[in-house]
Amino acid sequence: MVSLRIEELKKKNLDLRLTLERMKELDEENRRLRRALSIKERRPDLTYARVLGFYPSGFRKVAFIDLGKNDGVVKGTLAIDNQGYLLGKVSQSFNEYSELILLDDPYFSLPVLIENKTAGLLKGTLSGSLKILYVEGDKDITIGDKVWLKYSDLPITVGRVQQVRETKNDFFLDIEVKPESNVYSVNEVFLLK
Amino acid sequence: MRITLLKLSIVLFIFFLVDFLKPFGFYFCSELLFLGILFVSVNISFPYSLGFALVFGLFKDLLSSQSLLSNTFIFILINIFFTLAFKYFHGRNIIKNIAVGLAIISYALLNSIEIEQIPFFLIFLFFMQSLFTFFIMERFLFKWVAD
Repeated sequence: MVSLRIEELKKKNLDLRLTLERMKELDEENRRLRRALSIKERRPDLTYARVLGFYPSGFRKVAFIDLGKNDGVVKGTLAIDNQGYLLGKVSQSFNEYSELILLDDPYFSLPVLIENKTAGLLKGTLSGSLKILYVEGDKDITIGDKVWLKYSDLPITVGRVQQVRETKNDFFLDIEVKPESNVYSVNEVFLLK
Repeated sequence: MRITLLKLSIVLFIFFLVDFLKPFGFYFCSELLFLGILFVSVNISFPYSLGFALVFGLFKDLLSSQSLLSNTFIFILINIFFTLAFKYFHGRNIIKNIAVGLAIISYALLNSIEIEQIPFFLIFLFFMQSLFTFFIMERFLFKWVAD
């Protein structure tokens, strides 16, 4: 009789633990959605998209999102995170979904500005930091400079200059940028239309 | 044998799904499907392991708009490499471990050639995580598949 009761209590305990885990998950999702909603209220031209999955390779950083041509997503559409930092751009759009190439992917490239000093080409390196190419050696680039781009009057921050090196045999500077967005973990994005 | 093949198909499909969903984000940079193909190449006889390499390579290539059948090619290449290696050095554990290490490095280098960059830190991380995961796989998966 007692052992039956113990068994029953154990079952109940397990059930409560599982419910608690589920509640925690829902709480986290709720918080994410609230953040997303507050951004959407501030900027109605943003479109919220969920990440469906990723290209299954350790050497590419490509995400698949749940919006496609049918939702007005086209190649080149920029994606930002819930803090407003650049995350990537749409590289291909299909009817129901799109392929989003993340900042750190080796095939990612985008023209950006360094403060108001000069422009360069941002490239992904797969190492967590980014490179800016084609910035001439005589430009006064310093560590901490903001890297950004202008998208229809909206300034979008990419990150900050982390390292600047002059190369002996090269005309251009070797600039490393630390992105503000977390390129290691992406669950949701906002598309700029 | 049929049961073993079925079990392996399920396992490789789950590995493919985990690689696609990336529950650990990009912090885990190794590829379970690739390690699964390594596991199959090491433990299953040639025509069957080649079949797995071909089918799952095509499966992965379906998702890529950039690489034209490169994964299928790489998986088949790995499979043939192991078949030849074991033909001459059968039963030696140290040879198997060296071959697994070489296959992981070769895979990372082939991918680097494809992306036209050599990300040294990522290759190092990929190698360490892959080796560790492969030996865990050997320890636990082998027992379950062989049963």
